[in-house]
Amino acid sequence: MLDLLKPSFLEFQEFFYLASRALKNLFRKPHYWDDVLLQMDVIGVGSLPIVSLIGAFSGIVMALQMSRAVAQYGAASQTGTFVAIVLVRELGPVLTALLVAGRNASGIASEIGSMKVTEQIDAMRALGTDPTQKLVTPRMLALAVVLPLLTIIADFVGLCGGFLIGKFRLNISAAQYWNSAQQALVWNDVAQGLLKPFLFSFVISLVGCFYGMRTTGGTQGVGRSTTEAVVVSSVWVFILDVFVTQIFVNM
Amino acid sequence: MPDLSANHDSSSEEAVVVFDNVSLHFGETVALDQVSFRINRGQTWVFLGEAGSGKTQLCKVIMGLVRPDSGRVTVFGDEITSLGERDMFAIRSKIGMLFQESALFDSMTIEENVAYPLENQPVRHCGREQIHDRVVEALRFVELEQTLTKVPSELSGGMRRRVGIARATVTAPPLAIYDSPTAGLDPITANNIMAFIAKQRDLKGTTSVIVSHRYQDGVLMANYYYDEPQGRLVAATGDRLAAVRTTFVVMRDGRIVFLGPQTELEASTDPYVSKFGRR
Ligand SMILES: Nc1ncnc2c1ncn2[C@@H]1O[C@H](COP(=O)(O)OP(=O)(O)OP(=O)(O)O)[C@@H](O)[C@H]1O
Ligand SMILES: [Mg+2]
Repeated sequence: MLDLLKPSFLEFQEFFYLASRALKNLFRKPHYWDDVLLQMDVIGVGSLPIVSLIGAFSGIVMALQMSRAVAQYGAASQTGTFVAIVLVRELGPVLTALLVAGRNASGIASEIGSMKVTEQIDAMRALGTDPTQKLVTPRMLALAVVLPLLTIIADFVGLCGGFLIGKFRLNISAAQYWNSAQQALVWNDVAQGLLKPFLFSFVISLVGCFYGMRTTGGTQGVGRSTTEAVVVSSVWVFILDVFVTQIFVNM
Repeated sequence: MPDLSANHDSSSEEAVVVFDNVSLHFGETVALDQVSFRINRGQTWVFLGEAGSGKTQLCKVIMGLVRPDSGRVTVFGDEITSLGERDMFAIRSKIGMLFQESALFDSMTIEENVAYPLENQPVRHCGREQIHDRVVEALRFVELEQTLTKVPSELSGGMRRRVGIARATVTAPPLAIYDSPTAGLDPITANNIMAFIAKQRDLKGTTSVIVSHRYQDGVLMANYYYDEPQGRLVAATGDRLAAVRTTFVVMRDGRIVFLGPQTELEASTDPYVSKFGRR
């Protein structure tokens, strides 16, 4: 475990080389739009059920927890405020990113990893395509679009979950709940709530592709890269989260 | 060890691939060690050698997929060792390569696999409309035109090799590299595959590089040619034999330990080399 978190300098350098190539490809022909759409479908539509489910549960659990905590101050009617702030700023982006990292960083790493060990990556190069352009850039682009959208959905479903608790357990009226939720959110919250998933998306897609591309050693190697991709991208999601939160708190 | 440079007798002919002291290492492992040779247009070269002797890496170096640590590689007159990845694509489009494990794209159908180089190489081979016809023609060449809509996992190993050959040759490249086309196949299927390779060579004039464990494959390439009217391989004699003249190379631990014609290979007294010169 510790070995995984101790990436060597060389590894970092290779990662940033891949990332810069993938970004440069955005401005270079050819563009594989079919692959972008396909990945949006695989990652976005595919993750929708699990992301909604977890979003709903986190809203419900948070409303329950908050209601007890704030009841001491006689502020149970403010449940909407707390749920909204915590979900939009923090839990929505991080939970969604972690789910997508578990589901898709692994998927990307194992797909590209198997292509690597069966020489399909070499075949791509031999037959006239740049694997970074054909495989990495479409995944990066698809995730950058899809992860903020998934986060918005998770936030919304979470707020609905909180609302159910508010209505049926705490007897808060619908108007009161949604008003307090709406008033709680300022543009700063929304901005960080969307910036975070946008940044996380690059970590997830690029780390997944990176470990896929450097896979060696047959099927065993594919398993290893898949694990590494999930662990490393999850850790970096948290590290990045701390930085972004720090910046917004100081604003 | 024979004097390797003595083989460069025909330096006036057009060189397709020239290796000049090429070495390649993976950490401690030596994959290629001071390899030099020159392949001229229209020639057939057969590379033999035990597992791990560097045959696959040699093919990948020609293709520009692996960059050697030292030495110069010239392909179609361009020194590729100093070229960037993007500049390689023009040269790669002149080379067809069959990978050792076929390396078909398993998320695509057979038709999409064979069409891939036509659609993706920067050199336009034909218009959109003609791609399908070209693909069918290439698959018919290897007698697999009925598999168009299948995916690679539905095919047998021998069929996948044939699709690999179709994909490698659909662009009619002047140079074709076949990495272990017969490995792991029964003798009948293996001979069929070799017949397709000889057919490609003799009908299209393709310069051919063949990697193999089986000496028979080399013997076949050196002594038979594809006769179009009869539609099969025929033993070559006289002028024909000279035309299908084949060079044999035996590799060991990344070094070339033998380079010469079939007669010399069979006469070799070196225990390692003669192991590959027996049918
Ligand atoms: N990616 C790699 N990393 C480390 N070593 C490698 C790698 N690829 C090849 N090698 C080493 O390079 C040497 C040559 O390998 P190569 O694949 O060219 O052998 P080969 O002659 O094609 O063998 P075979 O007949 O089994 O296909 C071997 O010792 C192999 O272990
Ligand atoms: Mg090999």
